[in-house]
Amino acid sequence: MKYDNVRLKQMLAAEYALGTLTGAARRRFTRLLQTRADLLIELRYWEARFAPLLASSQPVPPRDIVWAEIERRIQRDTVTSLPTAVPTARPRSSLWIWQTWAVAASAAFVAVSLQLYQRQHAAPAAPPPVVAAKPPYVAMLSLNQGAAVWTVAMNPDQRRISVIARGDFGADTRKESMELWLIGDDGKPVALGIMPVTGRGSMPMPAGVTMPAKPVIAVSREPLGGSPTGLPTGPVLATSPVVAL
Amino acid sequence: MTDAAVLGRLLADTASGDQRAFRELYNATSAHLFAVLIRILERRDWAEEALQDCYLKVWQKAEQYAPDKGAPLTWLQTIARYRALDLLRAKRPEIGMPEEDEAPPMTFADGQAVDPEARAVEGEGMGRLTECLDELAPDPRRSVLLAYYEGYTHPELATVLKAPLGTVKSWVRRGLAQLRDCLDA
Repeated sequence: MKYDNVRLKQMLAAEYALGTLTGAARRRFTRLLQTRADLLIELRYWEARFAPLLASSQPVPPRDIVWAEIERRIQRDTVTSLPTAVPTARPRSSLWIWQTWAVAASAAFVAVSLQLYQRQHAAPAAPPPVVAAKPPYVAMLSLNQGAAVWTVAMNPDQRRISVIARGDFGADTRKESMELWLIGDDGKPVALGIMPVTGRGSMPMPAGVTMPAKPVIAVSREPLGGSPTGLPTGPVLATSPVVAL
Repeated sequence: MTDAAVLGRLLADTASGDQRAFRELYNATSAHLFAVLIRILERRDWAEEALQDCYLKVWQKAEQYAPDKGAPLTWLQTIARYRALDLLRAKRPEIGMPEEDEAPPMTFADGQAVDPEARAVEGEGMGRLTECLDELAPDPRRSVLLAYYEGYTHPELATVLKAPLGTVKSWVRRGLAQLRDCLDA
């Protein structure tokens, strides 16, 4: 198909927006949108022109059960594919340095390193960048004598937990999940989310979870999607105190 | 009327993982998205499933919203509309048009039986779009509006408009081409 023909391009975008471009043609156009800015611009043109038609719909309130289900799913959402929620507020470079240093270090050493790093970058030599929100809690969870390490940053203010996974966790994530728990001062574990086993991920801190005075986190091996009971059901793979920075 | 600035802020807070903002966003917008979904999917269970998908996507991708993508509600409704079309095609790959004498499956939402042309004229802020739609011949206009509001494919349009498939395709194309020329004029 000749996507460079201007009129054809306009029509394909129009029929895509309208919905009458279907099947293989629609899939092909969807793929092309990833790389073809000209097609995307055409599509945005039509979406914007058609948008007033959407505004004419009378609102129809959904049943409450829909929100309940959404809430349930975001609570246990691993969100490993999520980009860091506030990219400008937390420089990736600090996470990198943190990660590199953290692998062979104890949690306390990480804390000291981070403080040093932050102090260096607080020097007034350069015009200050956007003031970074510092991850106020960190912990390291080590498996198999350090063959695999999770570095966990918890930010109760931003309600965000960031995780870096490094090494081989020996987990088949198609069949099982590694679930993160926060152990409160009363000793009761609260589910925080499913851990990534590669790369980095971030997950929302579940509503209602507060940091205990002496926080400890743990990871247990659970059925796919996490513990069905809300409490750990599988073996605890790692545990670590959480250090406040 | 929902304030675009308020919704924009709720989207930004949602992007940073604020569940309370997400809840507020849902409360303020879900009925508008649900209306779009019900309209196209015509089944409450499918529309609820699609609504869930939409908001899970919004929860994960809220940072992708930018003001140049239109008003927040429009952006959300566009997500809903595409989701509805995908779901409709997936669940109803073969044409499953209701028979003439069959009661329409929609019974719980108001105003669903309104003629699409009447709806288009009712809507606020239509401005140029309405003028340009008015300039279209009746068949192309009906084809475009039915496709947009009901999510009909070409074969489905052919069934409801009782016209050959090739004719319907050319109505849609002619309608869109004339709309484009008029909107650009």
